[in-house]
Amino acid sequence: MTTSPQSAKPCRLARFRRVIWGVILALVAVLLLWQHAVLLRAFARPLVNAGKSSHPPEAIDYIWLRSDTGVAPTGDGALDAAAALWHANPNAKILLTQSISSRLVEVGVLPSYPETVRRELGPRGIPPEAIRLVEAAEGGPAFEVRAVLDYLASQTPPEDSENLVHVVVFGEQFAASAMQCEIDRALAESTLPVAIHRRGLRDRRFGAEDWWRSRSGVKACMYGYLGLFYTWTHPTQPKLEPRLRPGEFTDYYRQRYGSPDE
Amino acid sequence: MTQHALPADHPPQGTGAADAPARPLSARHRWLRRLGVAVVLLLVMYLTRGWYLPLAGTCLDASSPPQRADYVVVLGGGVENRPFAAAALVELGWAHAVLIPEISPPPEVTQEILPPEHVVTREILIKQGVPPERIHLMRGEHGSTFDEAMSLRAVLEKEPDARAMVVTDNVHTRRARWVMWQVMGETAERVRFVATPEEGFRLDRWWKTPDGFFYVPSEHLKLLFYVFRYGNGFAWLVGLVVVAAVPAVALFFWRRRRNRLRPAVPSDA
Repeated sequence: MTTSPQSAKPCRLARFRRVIWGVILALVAVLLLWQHAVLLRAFARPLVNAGKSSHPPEAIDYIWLRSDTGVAPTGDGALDAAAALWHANPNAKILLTQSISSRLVEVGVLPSYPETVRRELGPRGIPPEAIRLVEAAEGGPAFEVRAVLDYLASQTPPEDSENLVHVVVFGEQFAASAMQCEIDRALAESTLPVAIHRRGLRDRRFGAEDWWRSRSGVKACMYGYLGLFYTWTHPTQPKLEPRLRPGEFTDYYRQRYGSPDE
Repeated sequence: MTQHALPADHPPQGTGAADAPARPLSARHRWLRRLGVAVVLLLVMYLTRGWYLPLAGTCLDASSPPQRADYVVVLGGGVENRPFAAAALVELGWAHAVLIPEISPPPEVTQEILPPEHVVTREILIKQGVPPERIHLMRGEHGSTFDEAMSLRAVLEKEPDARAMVVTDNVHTRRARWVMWQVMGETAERVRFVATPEEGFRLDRWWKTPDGFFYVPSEHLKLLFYVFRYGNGFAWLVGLVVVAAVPAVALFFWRRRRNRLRPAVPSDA
């Protein structure tokens, strides 16, 4: 009797098994295509992170409006949402922070962020004295959260140090988880009795339930995951380096390239 | 039972390792080997990160020095820096006039909190010293770089001798250049791409700052999207070949390995 290695041809049973697997995979592919919305919604869920506040509105002490651009609040409908919340809590103060100082404000093309907010909230029934700007280092939410906590510490008298202060911050729906990460980090370093409730605002063009249907939605989802991954992997944030002033661009290009007449 | 005669030079049976059937690796050993390969790959990636990470950023910069042009085009989406750069280039004499695309409004504009971007851009240019009569609006709802390229093509087709400079962020220049060439073909030779000053991050250290982490990976993804969305058939073909080749090669090696590990089956001749 001789032995020889078995030839590479699959036996009938293996072929049959392959056909069965192929059919199963094809059915799964059809199911995925048919129910793709379910999967895509699940894909965006980690970004949104159930941003509704669990605390009743009557107990809100501060309403925090951030700006990523230095000219307008972040989050579609943030001003309406803030106004509605304020009317449910007339004693609440509205805090403003901004990630950058805008050149558009510096050259006088647009009003400053606090001026814009006061201008917009005035007709919505909110007096200017209820609105406060909290100065924060430029660089993003990490610095703004800490600046807000420092402000709250300065506003809390020692006899009230045991009372929990409730803050609601509005922002974009798809940046909710990254923001929550920064909030948790800052609160872990602070001994102040503060609860910061995050409210992600749905963009009028797309939401977590249909983000894939628009280019803006796809971009928001992509940016959301990039921002979340960056926040997870970078416990400390760098400060923004000084930028060129509006009048320094000409010198910048002159030094690099001169002028065509030279 | 018959026994076949073996060739004279064949070693006697049962005397050497050549006759022993191949022993498949145990499942534990196979997983250990895979883990080892993965660890080595991760280590190599970590040790060479100083090479490929900066390259991932710098390869997106397709800008060049300015050249005398009739127009400087301010692409949308960068109102904090692009209009200032355009105004500087006009002031230095590199360009005569400015083209601004009309931008599709985001929510804060539709809510009338802010004016439309092209209005803001025009105001910046005027405040930075560009005469208003030298600022021209490219009408239309420009929602992407592709839309802006289409409008610029229309302008350059009307003026066959005109040259243009596109001002945009350095990280955006690769995609902008690619789409201009796709849309304009040879006419794109009359378009130059000038980068705005680096702000928020440096391309060779993009992973260290939030802005760099946003823009560099997203530009690569957008570039990939543009290649498939607006690219020609060759790009599709290359993409399909790459997509099909990876599983085909994996399947080939998997089957070869499976067949080698299969135990020998005695056969009666």
